Parts: sequence; C-alpha cells; structure tokens
Amino acid sequence: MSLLRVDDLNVHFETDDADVHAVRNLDLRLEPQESVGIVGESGSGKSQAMAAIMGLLSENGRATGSVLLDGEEILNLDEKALRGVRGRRLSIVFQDPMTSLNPYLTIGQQLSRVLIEQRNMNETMARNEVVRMLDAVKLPAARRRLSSYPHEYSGGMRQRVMIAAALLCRPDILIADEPTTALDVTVQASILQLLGELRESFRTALILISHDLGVVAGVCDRLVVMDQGRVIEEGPTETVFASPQTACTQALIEAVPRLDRPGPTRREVDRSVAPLLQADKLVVRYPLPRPGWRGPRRFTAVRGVDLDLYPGETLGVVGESGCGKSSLARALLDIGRESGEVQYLGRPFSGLRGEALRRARRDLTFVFQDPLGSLDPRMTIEQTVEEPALVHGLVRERGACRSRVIEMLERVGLDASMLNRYPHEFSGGQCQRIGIARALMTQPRVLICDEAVSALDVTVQAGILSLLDELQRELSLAIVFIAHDLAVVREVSDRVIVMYLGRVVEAGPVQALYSAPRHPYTRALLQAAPIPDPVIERRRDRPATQFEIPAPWNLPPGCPYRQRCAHATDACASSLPELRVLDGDGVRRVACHHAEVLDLGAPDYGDLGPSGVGTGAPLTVSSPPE
Amino acid sequence: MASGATPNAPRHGLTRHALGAIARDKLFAACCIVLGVIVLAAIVGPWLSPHSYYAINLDFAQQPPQFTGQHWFGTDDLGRDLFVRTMQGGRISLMVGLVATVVSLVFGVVWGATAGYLGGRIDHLMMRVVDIFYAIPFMFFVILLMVLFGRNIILIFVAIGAVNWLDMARIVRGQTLALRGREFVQAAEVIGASRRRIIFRHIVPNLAGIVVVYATLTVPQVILIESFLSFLGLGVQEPMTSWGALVQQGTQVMSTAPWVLLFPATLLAVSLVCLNFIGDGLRDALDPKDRHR
Repeated sequence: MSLLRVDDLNVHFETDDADVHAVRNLDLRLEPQESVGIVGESGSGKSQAMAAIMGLLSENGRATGSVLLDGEEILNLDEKALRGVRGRRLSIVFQDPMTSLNPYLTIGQQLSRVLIEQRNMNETMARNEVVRMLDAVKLPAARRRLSSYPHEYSGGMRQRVMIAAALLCRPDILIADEPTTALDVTVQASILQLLGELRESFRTALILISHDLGVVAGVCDRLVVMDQGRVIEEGPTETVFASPQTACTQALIEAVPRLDRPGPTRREVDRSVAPLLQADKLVVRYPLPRPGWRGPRRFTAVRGVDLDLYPGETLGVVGESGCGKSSLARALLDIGRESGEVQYLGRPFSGLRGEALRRARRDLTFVFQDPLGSLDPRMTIEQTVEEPALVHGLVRERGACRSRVIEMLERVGLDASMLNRYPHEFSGGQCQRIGIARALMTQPRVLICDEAVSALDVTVQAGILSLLDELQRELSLAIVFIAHDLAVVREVSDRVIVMYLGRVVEAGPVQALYSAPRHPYTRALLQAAPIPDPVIERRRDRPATQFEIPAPWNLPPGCPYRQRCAHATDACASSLPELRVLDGDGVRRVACHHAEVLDLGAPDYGDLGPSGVGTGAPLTVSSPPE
Repeated sequence: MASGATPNAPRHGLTRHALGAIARDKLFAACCIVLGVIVLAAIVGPWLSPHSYYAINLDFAQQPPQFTGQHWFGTDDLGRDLFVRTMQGGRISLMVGLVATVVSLVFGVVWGATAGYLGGRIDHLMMRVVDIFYAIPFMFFVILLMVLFGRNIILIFVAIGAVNWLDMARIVRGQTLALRGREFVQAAEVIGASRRRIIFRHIVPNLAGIVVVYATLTVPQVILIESFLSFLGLGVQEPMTSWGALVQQGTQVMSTAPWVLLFPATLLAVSLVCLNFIGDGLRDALDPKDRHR
C-alpha cells in the first residue's frame, strides 16, 4: 500500500472573475522513503495541490477527491484533526526562509514550541532534541545559536532551520515547496545534498516541488510534470529526462540553459573604440544603524571594483547574494557611490552637469529583479512606461507620447490593449517586459539588468533572454547582466566578472572563464550549479561547501575566500590578493595568490562520455571527499 | 478583467478607476446619500425655518416634536426651536471635522512622507518637531490660545488641526519607510525622477489606503473633541451651538424631554457611521487590486 495515495484531487478557487480550476484530476502515489519531484511552471497548480493535501488552501479554495495517508482520509479534515497530521505525519518547507520564521522569537523558542505542543516534551527535553535536530541539518554551533533571532541567520542557515523544524516530529513525508529557489547556487547545492541525506537518515519520503529541473534531477527518483493543473507526464526521473513524452515537458527541459553544453556563439565586440562606461575603483558603503549614540557603523558593499563596457557588449556579473552585485549596479548610475569614479563616454559622472548629466541618465537605464515589485501598483501601464519620458522632459504632459509607449510595448512583445491596466493584472514575465519597455523609453545605450530573469520561470526566462538579445542586436545596446545563475549569464554574456564580498575575484571572456576557471571560487560556483540531467547530476563530483559567506563587516585580513578555499595556505591569511592580469592578452584577471600554480582544471560538468547511463543506483547527490 | 481598451480610449488613472469602483459599491453609495442629506439640511435648514437658533420663547419651553406644527424637533428648555439648533450645530460640527481633517491630511501627509522618504538627519529633525508638538498639553494649548486671542470659533479649528496632523504624520512616515524600500521606488530613482516627483507621484498615492481610513476616523474624533471643548466652556458659546454641545444639554433634560437628546445624538451617530463606511469604501476604491470587492 502506498504511503500517500491521492486520487482524483481537484482544487477550485472561487474568485470574482471566474471559478479557477487550479488542480485537475490529480492522481499521485508516494511509497515510503521515495522521493518524487513535482515540476511545472508557476501557475501549474503544483503548490496548490500540496496546499490542499496539507489543508492549507486559502479561504476561497475548495478541494475534492481523496487523499489517503496510510489508508486514512486526510483531505478536508477539520483544524483539530489536521493538527495531528501536520508536523507528525506530513511536514512542509516553504520557499522563503526569510518570512517563514517569526522575527520576534529566538530559533530555540520557535522550534522547541513545536515539540512541547506536538510531543508533550518539557522545556529541557525539547531543547536537547532541537539541538540534535539542528546538528542533523548541519547547522554549525547549534547549541550556541539557539538563543539567536532569525535575522542573525543567513538565508541558507534559515532554510536549514526550516528543514529541522519540519523534521522535528519525524514526519513520514516531507514536502519541500521550492526550498532552494531563494538561495544561492552554492547554498542550494548544500541544501539539496542535505535533503538527500536526511531522507536516508530519517527514512522520510520527500516531495520536492520546483520549477527548476536542475534541482529535481539530482534528488528525485520519480518526476511528475504538471501543466495548467493537470499531470501531463509521470515517470522515473531518468526516463522523463531522456525521452520526454509531451511537448510541454520537452520545452521545459530545453528551456534550461545548461553548463555542460557549449554556450552560444556571440557576436564579435569591437573593443578598439572607446568604452561606453568605465568604472574605476568603485567603493560603495552603507551606514548601519546602531543603537545609542556611537555613530553609524559602516558596511562596505563594494570594495574597489574596476570595469569597462563597450558598445554592443554584454558584461555578466555573478556572485552569491551579498557580494555587492546590486550595489555595484546602482553605483554605475552614480547612486550610493562613495569613492572611485564612473566615466560615461570618457567623462566622469561626477563632473557632468545640466544637459550632459540628463543625457547620461537617459542613456543608462535599469531593469529590476522583482517584475511586479518594480512597477508602481497604483499606476497604469501607460503611466509607468511613459514616466522616464516625463522625468527627462521629453514630453510635457501625461499621455502625450502614447504612440511611443505603444511602440515600446509592441517592441517587447506586448500590445496596446494593456495601456490602461494595472501591473497586478499581469504575469511575472509580462511585468518584466513592461519593465524593459520602460527602460527602453529614453532610447538608452546601456541597460543594467539586476537579476532581471531570476524571478521568472525557465520558459519565460528564455523568452526574456532572447528579447534582450534581439534588442541588443537592433539597438546596439550594451548590457550589464547581473545574475546569480551562472548558466544564464553564460547564455548572454561576452565577458564575465565574478564578485566575492565586494571584490572582483576573476574576470575574463565567457568561454575561457567557464571552461577553465582560475580562481577557486569561480570553480566552486560552477561546480555547485545544478545540471538538469539526472545521469550527469548523479555522477558529478560535488564537494560540500563547509563555510557560508563570512559576515561582510569585520572581515579578517588576507584573502576573504580563504576559509572556504581548499587550496588556502599561510600566504592567503596574511595578505590580500590583488586582481592581476594573468594571460598575455590582458583580458583574464584573477585575484588569487596561487593563480599561476594552481591547476584547477575544467569544472566537472559530468560529461564523461556515453557510458554509465541508467545504472539504476539511488539518485542522491554524491559527495566524495576531496 | 478590464475590457481591451483601444489606444484612443480615454485615460483612466486612479481617479477614474476609483469612480468606477465607487459606482459599484452600494453601501458606499447609500452612506454618501445619507451624509449628503444631512450636510444639505445643515446648510439650508436654518434658512428655511421661520425660527432662529437663538430666539428664546419661554412660553414654548420643552415642547415635544410635532411634525405638522411649528417645531419639527420640538423645543429645548428655553423654548428655542430644536430643528434649527440641530442644523446650526451640524454646521459647526461638520465644519470642525472637515477643516481639522483637511489640515491633518495635507500637512500630516506631506510632512510624514517627506520625513520618511528623505530619512537621516532631516527625518530626525522633522519628527522631533512632531514630538515637541505632542508634548504640549492640549488643554493648556487651547486655554493659552483663548487667553491670547480671545474666544473665537476659528481658534478651535486651529487648535484641533494643529494637534491632529501629528498622528497622521507619524502614521504616514511609518508607511513611507516601508514603501521606500520597495523596488518601484528604486525604479523611479534610477530613472532620475526628482525627490519631489517620487514623493508625490509614487509615495503619496500608495499611502492613499491608510490615509483615507485614518482621515475618516479623524472626523468623528474631531467632532467629539469639539464637543468636549464646548462642554468645558472653551468651544462654541451660547447661543451658538454644535452637536456636541446639544448632546450635552440633552443629557441634562433626558428624563423630562428625551427628544432634546435624541435628535442631535441620532444625527451625530448616523453621520459618524456613514463616515466610517465611506472611509472603507474609499480605501477599497483607491486600491487597483481590490476592484471586484
């Protein structure tokens, strides 16, 4: 008998517009200790199906069908009965570890509460059990951290805490709803590895919901692909990847940019001309509020970054969150810059006045990460898109440049019927197109995309990427493309810079950098990026990252990466490696003391040839010791 | 979903959108009509009636209401026509509510949004000014004004307005701090929009929901403050009156002439309830996301 047996599950939402049929006739079986991946684009009903099973549907939702847990019906139980099921039998880990924890309670209080209520433990017992569990999820110094508040934890640590919380009552089934979407690749890799290990040690079945095929490829035995509320394909992970039966699955697999395949060939960029944009030793600092009268503590987000950008070129910027990518992007527009210089067309930004400054501001535009959040909810699409024209005085009054607004909307693949609507009526991809239309309004020469596709589904992401490429070709835009997803950056970039804690650690042409990284950090990033192929993913050598990023204030002297670096020596602890030119041609720059002698080799993308396919071994992320 | 508008369709910004939403909200419409009738009656009532609000006629003291006779709402213990007095009181009360709310809206929103958006030293300075105003005892402030400038209804407006914008400024500042971190505000910054533009085109419209609700709560609050002041002898002076003053008089003769309390109290209560519903309706109407409620 299956552990979980879902038959003909339907979920409806009653909205004022219509009755939305979110999940249609879902059948699902889950055996004990099995791991099933549910993939699909956003809106495919994968999360709502799980919410229905957990009894977490919102007020206007209605679920019909049958969900048997060990032969017992659990669908539509009342709150009291559900409390016996949730946590003890079924547990869930949500996407956003930042908002899933109560900021007013310490981690210890929050977790032991669960045990005290669900398993009738006393305070001391509960505390000890919590420590055991936090150790199990590999939270360093767990006992000491019990009295810390959630904001003192990093994103990866919080997600570990959430997993620990979910496992506290030893559930039979752990549902992880996009557990790594909000995390960096390196952290993602370690969380996925952790989930795989915990499944073994706690004998838990796992349902992993994700839009990212790379994530499920390594962890799941079986895949369920959903589209528009229906299951369109189901089968062993390897089979689904190797021979997808439906066009939709195929599109989903093909839309993911893959590191193990050769990247696209880019147009040749003419670097003999003067660079459009040049940054010189940029430093960005933020004041951190401190209690009392001691004056602000300062946090340095960008520590002396140089870069240049030529017309028609795309410069990729990658790094983990907190490495200063976004601060760098804003500093390029002269926002928040503390020292250093940005030159636009050979003239320093700070020296620009009047018309020249306006010209520069018109020429440099920005696309944001959060498609919906970057649009004012109280402005119509027309008002949003025409705003740059108004701000720069290209037109005098609202509505005066409607034809241009329509032209821009059509340019990005939208149409004029959207003019009078509000942002919330559109999907993420459409909102991002609106954001791009707004950025194009002033006929810019440089587009700075700050994680512009990170929040989008893979298929939508592919659409936006090709749009950017098209725009670049037609308008000879220069693009600064900031992202944490290395595969995406490779798709669009000519050159890439890798940032770590406010500094550039490696810079170079995209092909060279991806095929032969010279800085250990670059290699670690490439190594951590998942590849959407179960066979390859299983075979990859993926050393566990021991340390998360150190706090960016009070950095110890020496190389900031040395605590995470397998090749660190005493020299690394004593002096900070400068970014220096490595190759003769002057394009490859690395900040590592050992760059000349270290042979890192090509990152392991698992392409060992055609052998070893489909051996049927359990699919967990392997972690052989170095 | 909105109908597929043609490029030549009229603009429909927030105002237009709000009007559409209001047209669909029946409770809102009903409250507007009721309040409108009360306001209209307060304005024209005293002119239509043959009586004046101050004429004393002891022969007709405490006459019960006669809807066919001379005194529709009856008379008070001095024989003054209660209908005219209630309408006259309504003028004062509604006027106090309106003026104080407008002051607190305009001043509080601009002050709070500016402080919150600019942040840093300016924020500190602006909020310390608010704190200083808070620290002045209200009654002391009113008495001081009365002593300095003599009794005057205008001073009541000034005093209440000067105190009420403080709450609004604080609430708006808090909201602005939250809004400032949102990406659409950053988007406006990188476009190169001026601070003025960001505050008035992006911050203030997004404050509308909370501001409207708070403003409609301010009206009843202010009306009650005014009646309290009148009760202490610092507000409107006999024979001029307000709803608060009338209710206070009514309570004294409640057992012998309940109508003296009943009419002004009912009108006051009905107006306040209507204002609350109108506030809720406006908040929903101003939120583009909430269009189908």
